[in-house]
Amino acid sequence: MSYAYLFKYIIIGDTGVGKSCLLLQFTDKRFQPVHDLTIGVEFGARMINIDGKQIKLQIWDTAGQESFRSITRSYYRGAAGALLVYDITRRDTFNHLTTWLEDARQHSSSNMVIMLIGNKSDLEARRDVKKEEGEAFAREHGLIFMETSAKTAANVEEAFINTAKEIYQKIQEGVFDINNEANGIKLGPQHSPTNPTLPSQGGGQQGGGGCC
Amino acid sequence: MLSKTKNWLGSGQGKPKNVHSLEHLRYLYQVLIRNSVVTEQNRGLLVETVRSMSEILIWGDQNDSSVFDFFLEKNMLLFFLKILRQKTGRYICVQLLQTLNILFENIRNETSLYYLLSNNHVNSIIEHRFDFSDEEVLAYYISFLKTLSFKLNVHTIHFFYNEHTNDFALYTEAIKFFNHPESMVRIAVRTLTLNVYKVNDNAMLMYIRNKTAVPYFSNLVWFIGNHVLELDSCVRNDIDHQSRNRLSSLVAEHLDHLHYVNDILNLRIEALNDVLTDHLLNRLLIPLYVDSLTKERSFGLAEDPPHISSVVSLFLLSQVFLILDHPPLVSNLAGIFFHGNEAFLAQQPTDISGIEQGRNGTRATAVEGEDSNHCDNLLNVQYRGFVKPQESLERSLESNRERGSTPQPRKRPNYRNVDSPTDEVEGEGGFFADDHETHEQDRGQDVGEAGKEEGSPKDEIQDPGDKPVAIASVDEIQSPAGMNCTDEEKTSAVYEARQSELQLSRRPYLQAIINALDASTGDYRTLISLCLLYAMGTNEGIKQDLLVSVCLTTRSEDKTSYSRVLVNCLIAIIGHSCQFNSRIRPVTLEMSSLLLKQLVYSSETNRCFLEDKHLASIEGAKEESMLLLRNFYRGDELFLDMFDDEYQSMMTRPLNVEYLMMDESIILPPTGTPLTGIDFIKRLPSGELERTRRAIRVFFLLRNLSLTLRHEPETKLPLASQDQIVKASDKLDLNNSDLIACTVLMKDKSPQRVRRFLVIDNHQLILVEPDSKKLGWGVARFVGPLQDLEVTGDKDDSRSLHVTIHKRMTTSPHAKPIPLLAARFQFDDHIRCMAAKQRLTKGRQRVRQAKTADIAALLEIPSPASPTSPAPPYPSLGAAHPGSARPVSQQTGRGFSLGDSSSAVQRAVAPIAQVIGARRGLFSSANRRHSDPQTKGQPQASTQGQETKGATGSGTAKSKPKPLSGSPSHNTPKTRWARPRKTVTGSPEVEEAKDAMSPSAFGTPPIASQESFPIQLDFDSSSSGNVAAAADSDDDDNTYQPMSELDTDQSTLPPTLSKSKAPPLTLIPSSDSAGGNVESPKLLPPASEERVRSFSSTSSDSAKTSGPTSLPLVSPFAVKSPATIDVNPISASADTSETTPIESAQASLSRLSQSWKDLEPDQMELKQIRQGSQESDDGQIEPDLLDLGKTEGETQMAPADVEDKDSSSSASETSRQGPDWVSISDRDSLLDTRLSMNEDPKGSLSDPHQVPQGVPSLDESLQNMVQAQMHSLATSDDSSPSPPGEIV
Repeated sequence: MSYAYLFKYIIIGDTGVGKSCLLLQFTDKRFQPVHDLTIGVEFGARMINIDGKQIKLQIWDTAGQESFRSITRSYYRGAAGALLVYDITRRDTFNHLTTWLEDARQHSSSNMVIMLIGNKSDLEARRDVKKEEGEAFAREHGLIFMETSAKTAANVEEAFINTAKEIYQKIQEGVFDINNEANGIKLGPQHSPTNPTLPSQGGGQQGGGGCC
Repeated sequence: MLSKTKNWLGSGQGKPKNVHSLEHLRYLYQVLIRNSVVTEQNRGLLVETVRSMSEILIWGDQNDSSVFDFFLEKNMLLFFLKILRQKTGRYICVQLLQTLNILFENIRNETSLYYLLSNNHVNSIIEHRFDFSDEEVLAYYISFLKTLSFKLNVHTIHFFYNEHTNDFALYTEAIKFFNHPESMVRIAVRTLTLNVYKVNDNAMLMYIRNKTAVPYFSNLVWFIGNHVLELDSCVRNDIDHQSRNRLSSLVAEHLDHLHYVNDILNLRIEALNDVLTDHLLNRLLIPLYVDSLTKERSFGLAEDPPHISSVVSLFLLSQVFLILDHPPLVSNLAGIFFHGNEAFLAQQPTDISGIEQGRNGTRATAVEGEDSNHCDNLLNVQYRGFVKPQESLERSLESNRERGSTPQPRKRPNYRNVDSPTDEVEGEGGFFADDHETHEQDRGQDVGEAGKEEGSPKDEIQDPGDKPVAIASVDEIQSPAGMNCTDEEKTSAVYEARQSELQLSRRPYLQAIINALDASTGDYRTLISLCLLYAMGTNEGIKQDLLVSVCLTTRSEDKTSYSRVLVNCLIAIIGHSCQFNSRIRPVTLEMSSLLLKQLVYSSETNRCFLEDKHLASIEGAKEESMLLLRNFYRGDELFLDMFDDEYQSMMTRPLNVEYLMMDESIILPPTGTPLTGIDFIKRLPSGELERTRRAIRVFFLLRNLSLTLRHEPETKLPLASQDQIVKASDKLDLNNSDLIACTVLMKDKSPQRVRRFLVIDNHQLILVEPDSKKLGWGVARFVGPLQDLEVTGDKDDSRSLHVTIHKRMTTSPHAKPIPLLAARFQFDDHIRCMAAKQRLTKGRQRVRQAKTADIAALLEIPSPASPTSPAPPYPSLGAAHPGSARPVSQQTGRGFSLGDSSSAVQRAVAPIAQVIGARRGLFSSANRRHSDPQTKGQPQASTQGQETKGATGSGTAKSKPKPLSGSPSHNTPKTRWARPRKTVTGSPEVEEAKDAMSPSAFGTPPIASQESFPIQLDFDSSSSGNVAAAADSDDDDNTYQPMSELDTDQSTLPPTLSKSKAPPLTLIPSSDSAGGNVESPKLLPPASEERVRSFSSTSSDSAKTSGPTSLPLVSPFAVKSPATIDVNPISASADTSETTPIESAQASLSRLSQSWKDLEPDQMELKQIRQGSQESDDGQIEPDLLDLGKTEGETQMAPADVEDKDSSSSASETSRQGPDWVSISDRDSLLDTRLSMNEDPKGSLSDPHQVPQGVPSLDESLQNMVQAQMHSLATSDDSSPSPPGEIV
């Protein structure tokens, strides 16, 4: 399917906070959350609509690449948005946010939109990090904040889409240089669907899942 | 979806209800079987089937192993492959890739994984030609490969790498995308390669090295090089900073490359590293980067090899040295810098295997050459060069593969390196040593790859050919270095000689770097060159010997042999930075300072190896920076805020060179406009405010440098000493301190009401909660600086205050500035509310004024006075008083330099007159302006120069004998006060004049002005009285003549002076005291200064009310003040003789007191101050400090005797405080007393110059004040140096 913009996201955070599950949950709704099944992916894409514009989100999980500095910094730089995820049932993952954020700020373009996500909000009984703490951290560092559950899909949609809206707004404000692909933003083959087979192909193969 | 598929199926097998079950998988399998041919119609069904399978499989992996068994049993991967290979397979390839991704990503059971991989289907899928023009397909495909690479280990590697067929599809397919335009794809490829290299499997690594390393690395290097050329052209065409976005990403891209290379090198796979190092050095770093250092070529000429501008080259090389630390690589590179020359570069034959055309032919000739001269014969071929690889990576891989499949008869000699221990390479002494090895290897490689006709025999022949060449050149280069480094020892002369020898001619690259340091026309290249030197100096991969061979002593313990040439350059940069319109950016100065410290200062042994003359230059620069800053000094709030902010930002965000080198803005010519968005420190200042900020920054940097080099601790910064700061959850003794109960309502979030007690400390607002365990104690729940406080009343609620404490430094520029505290304080009633507001406001003011005074002290500006309300001019008075003006006139000149206009002088005069009783101020001013016209002119013209001169020579400027100055009691106060000035100016008078003038010009806070006024007046009067007699001896005049001054002054005194009586009071008690140390009141720290922790007596208000008892002592003197005039001469003499003279003086004072009531106090005080200042001026700096400390203690004793209460403790306290505190404190106390006299409910700070209501009342209040202060001082348990801030 053709799109007006393509935004590249990365997902960062400690291992085990549910990054890849969030990713799959958002990019492919065909995978219904089930209590005895956790599936994650390292890459996913999905089309959303903002302001009547088709926007494609491409999300790359950076899991497991921490040992290579070149990789992490490249990822950061190539993304327009980042989801910084911690696990509300594990305080250490929250404590590590500062490091993650520092890294992200350092390596990313200054315009990168970062959303803070407290994942596993379904596990209220085991909550270890108060929502207020997450809010305070986000406020202090200028992030958007949301608590989500990849299990129940609560807020997952919103998390990604709000981030996209923020990026879109920045584009409208001219903050992003959309001609510079290093920002993680790409202009789509807009008004000229030069390759008509591609759209149909994409739509057809994905079925109704919305993963395109 | 699922329901739809059901309909389509319509067959007998119903879909199981449980989606996650073996049955469902069976069912899906059936679907696959039935739809083995993909068509337009069934593709939707197939997509969903394949998707469901991944779900079930993962579920099975986590819950039911039989599911996986079934999948393997039916060999479903083969199905996938079959589907893919159909023409219509592309319809569902994305889904297949996703399923495979999910499968390999989520699978936890190792056995299952092995089974999945075991049948080679995965490799077939990897090799399948997908339609990569579809970015989605490519993204899934590359993710799939990446996912697989994460599963690699010594066991699984064999599923991918086939040792027998030399197949490694996962790797070879992936690296074909190494230069894909999509960055995420490139990253995935790099991740994969690193994951592959990481697997410790020799056979695989050997394959990588022999079959793929050369093609891959040569192409990678070429790819990097092209980015660099792009970057260079971007810089060259972007003088106006128009395309910084693009430049930024290019710079980041280059960093990415370097980090990637570094990640590979850090895996320590020597076989790979050698190839990579060789290619980097010979194909990129040397021919493109290094060679560009010395050449400014005409670009665009086809025959010219590509080059980059030297700035870009410096910048990129800095990055290289900051990031890479692979010893063979960086040592070689550094070696070329230090000892190489262009001829060498041109001649050094390179051996880039498999890349260069025609190498076979030239090799043959090379064989004959036995020494370096023969290189000339090789001209065409074997140079280092930035050359495009002969064939594309893909083609190389293809051909390799073909060859790999055919049996290879020949054994490659270069294999040995794979197994050889790493130290073989690193252990070699010569920096080129490893080159030989690489050459050999590459040569072998060459032969293997490039031509079949080139057999192994040739290989052997070539080796001797190349080797000698390399060795010869190495020797040639090394010899000078050896001579230079090893022989000489110690004497600086030798070093100088060596250095001059070191530099230049024979080291063109080093010379180019050092030449770039020249900052006389700007610091564009300077900064980057500094970074490069820093980066080389700190690079762990470069052997220390190599650094020392060119006197880069950054990492050595013994830094005696530091490079004089370099240090001279650095000092020149530092010197440039202190000039008025300097073109040196703050960051450049900071880099210079950093580098200098590294070169000459060993932080481990705290030893500074800098020669005296160099150290003196640094000190001189420091003084100059202070003078520079004084030009910008203002006593206003803005200046204070800037001062604080600059300090904080310097402390909290120290320069990080690595971050600096990520910033593309520094490779563009420096600009001044903030519109570019360039960080302040990385550009030139724009406008007056930024020039001020810059001056502040320069001052801090040089102060820090000077202190570091002299190994002295910083004692004056930050302005509010940290040990006084209360932290949240501290427990505080609140007994007898002022507490105001209030309810705090936070504004930000859910309104929470908490009951707290408001405490106002010296620096902080504290909200405390009573301590449940200790009566009278409290726990601080919130602490915020008063300085950044904002208080407003509530229109609707007279009991409420809105209190905001702003946050100074945000943690990141992205964060929104959130105030530290935003709350409404609700008090019990209106009165308390008002009281609280007043205290808060006053506290804020007090802190700020104190800090401003601190700054002035730091800058050695005798606290400048600026009255808030303009004082009426007293021209007649000035005219009437024709004093002797000689020294004064000079002063005026100085004053002008600050204020820079004669009008400024006038303005300055007016306030002074008002405060003191116009006569003196006017006289002094009059003297300056009128009586000595000739002097006036000259100083004005030469102010700047004089100042600087004075600054450098300050230490020794004047030596006024102390005996002359008079009794210690009188002297001490002044010394403290004036001490800060000493360093700056050569002569005391000059400084004083400056002080006097400056306030008016700049509008300094009132308190400061008060202080300065009296002092200045004294000087003036003294000078006026004496000048006639002693024209030239400034110092002498001052000390002796207080009396005469006073007389003359008195005659002219206007009635307005009455207010200033308070000071004399303070003087008198001190004189009474037998010890002869008079100044007691001044020394006392202001009541308000008591520390928070001992809240016993809090603010000056309380102090006033509290201390009635001590009054009698003070009051009589106040009344007697007129007598002081007569007495003064006596007292001066008495100082030496001790008590008796003082007593007599007192008597005389009492006599006169009645008549001179009004005037006296001022005079007394003035005199006292003056003397103190004189003395201080006289003394040398260092000794003075000690003396001050001592005298302080003594002086304190006097009041103690009189009052005989707790004062002794206070005295000891003060003495302990040391000089820093003293200098400020007495000034403060003085001010404080005045303030209290004024009885201004708001703290009198705002309007110190008000005329007091009635003399007696003033006296009383003053006395109260004094006593209260003393009391508080005595009682306060720990010796908090009452921060100067209090009063001001």
